[in-house]
Amino acid sequence: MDHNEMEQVLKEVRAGDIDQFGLIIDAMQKPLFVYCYHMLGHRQEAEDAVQEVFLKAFEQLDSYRHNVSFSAWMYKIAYHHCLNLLNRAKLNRVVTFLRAGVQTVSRHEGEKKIEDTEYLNNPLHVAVSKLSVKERNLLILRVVEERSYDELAMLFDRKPATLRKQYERALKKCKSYMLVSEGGDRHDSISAT
Amino acid sequence: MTRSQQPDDWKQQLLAAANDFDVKDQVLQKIKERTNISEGKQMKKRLGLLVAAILVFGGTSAYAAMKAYELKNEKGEAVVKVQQTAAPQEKSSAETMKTFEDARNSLKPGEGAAIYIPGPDNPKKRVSFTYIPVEHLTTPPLQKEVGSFYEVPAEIEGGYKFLKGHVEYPFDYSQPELFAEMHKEAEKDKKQIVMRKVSPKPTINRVFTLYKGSEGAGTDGDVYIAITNFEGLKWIEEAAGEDAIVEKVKVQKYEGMYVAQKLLDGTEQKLVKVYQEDKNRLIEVGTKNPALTKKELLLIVENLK
Repeated sequence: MDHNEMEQVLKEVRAGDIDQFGLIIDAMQKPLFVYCYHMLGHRQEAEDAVQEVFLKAFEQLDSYRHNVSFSAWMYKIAYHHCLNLLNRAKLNRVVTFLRAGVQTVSRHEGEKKIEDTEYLNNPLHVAVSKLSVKERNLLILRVVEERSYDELAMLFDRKPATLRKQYERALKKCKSYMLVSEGGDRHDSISAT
Repeated sequence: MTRSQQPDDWKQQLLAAANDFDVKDQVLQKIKERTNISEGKQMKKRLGLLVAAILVFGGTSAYAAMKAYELKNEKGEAVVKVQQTAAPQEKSSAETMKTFEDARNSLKPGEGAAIYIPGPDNPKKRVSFTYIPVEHLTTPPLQKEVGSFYEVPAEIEGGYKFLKGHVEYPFDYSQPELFAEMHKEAEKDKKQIVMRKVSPKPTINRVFTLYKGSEGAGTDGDVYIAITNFEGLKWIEEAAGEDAIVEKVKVQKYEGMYVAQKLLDGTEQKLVKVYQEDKNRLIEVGTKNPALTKKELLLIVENLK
């Protein structure tokens, strides 16, 4: 859906035509699922999260300002929703660890225990899950969505240069985690792109 | 995965997760349920003086907006929007309108109905609501029905006297089960119209009053005053013709809007709208009498309580 089509749809939704919101869901649900899936590391939680993100977006539609694209605005809602879920999960982590008796990923703020075995089957997913929430957010939006630093800076109220550094650091970490899981040396030289 | 892989390769891997993902129906269903529960999210769209029937045939795309004017509340949110548009397209066929009018005429004052008319005029299978108000020819019974929401004057600035008035009530506009039942009945029995009597909500939606001068314009009166209750409403949107004059005005302590435009029947309508945020209501004073000026309309509004 291009910008003009999206604007028209938003206008009709604001005028009370709820069914038009279905077009927004059609356009955004898969990218948002990818985002939530890799942020949360759990398929079912990601499915629920996407639904909640759409509901929040619908309810907050009047607060959407056109200084960023609508899809970027949706990602901001998704980011905060995932952050809330992860923080909530963090509180339960100790209990979960004792019950499940498995190692948790607990190095960074807001990270949660990865229970989805499907997710853990992929070395890249495992590497992504080891990043901090902020790093994961940045990595997904840059790699999958190819969002510019300028847009992300506006969205998350950070300087583009700061985000670039964070992204490069996240990329290095991710590659490093993957090398380790492949049996390589953590000190192998890899340059960030 | 090998160490030679770069983010481009990663993109494909990360994207692969969403293959069969589809939650559209669930989300839309939840939105409709929540909209139904939350009257605060209710939005209303009106077109000109079609106040008695909420016709929803054809959706909202029949008008191509040219310019928009807004009245805002203290938070800066638009509460009244007037969209200046190109000439409206014919929204419904004469046959559909007649079918609707016939059904409406079968109702008694105080009765409301949900009406579904299937066919090409209604591709989204929308159900319309209509209500026949109880007309009052004097102010005391109207005042009794209106209560403290609005003080109905027997006479207004300029010597115009009360001719008649009524109260309109809103419906529950989101009833998916009722709509599905009506759709099914129309389909099963190949009906041209399906009607269900439904009761409106007890909350006042709008008070409509008509006034006439000593040489009044018959049953149409000279001046009408409509007071819309903004309880549960976020904003109201209306269409004005491309030749319409739309101006911001200051009346009482509020910012208002003056709209002068030709109606479809060729007559000219002048209208002043004032949103009273402290009273949570919109006052509209209008006339089709060409002798009445903008200044006189503003004076009428100025003196309303």
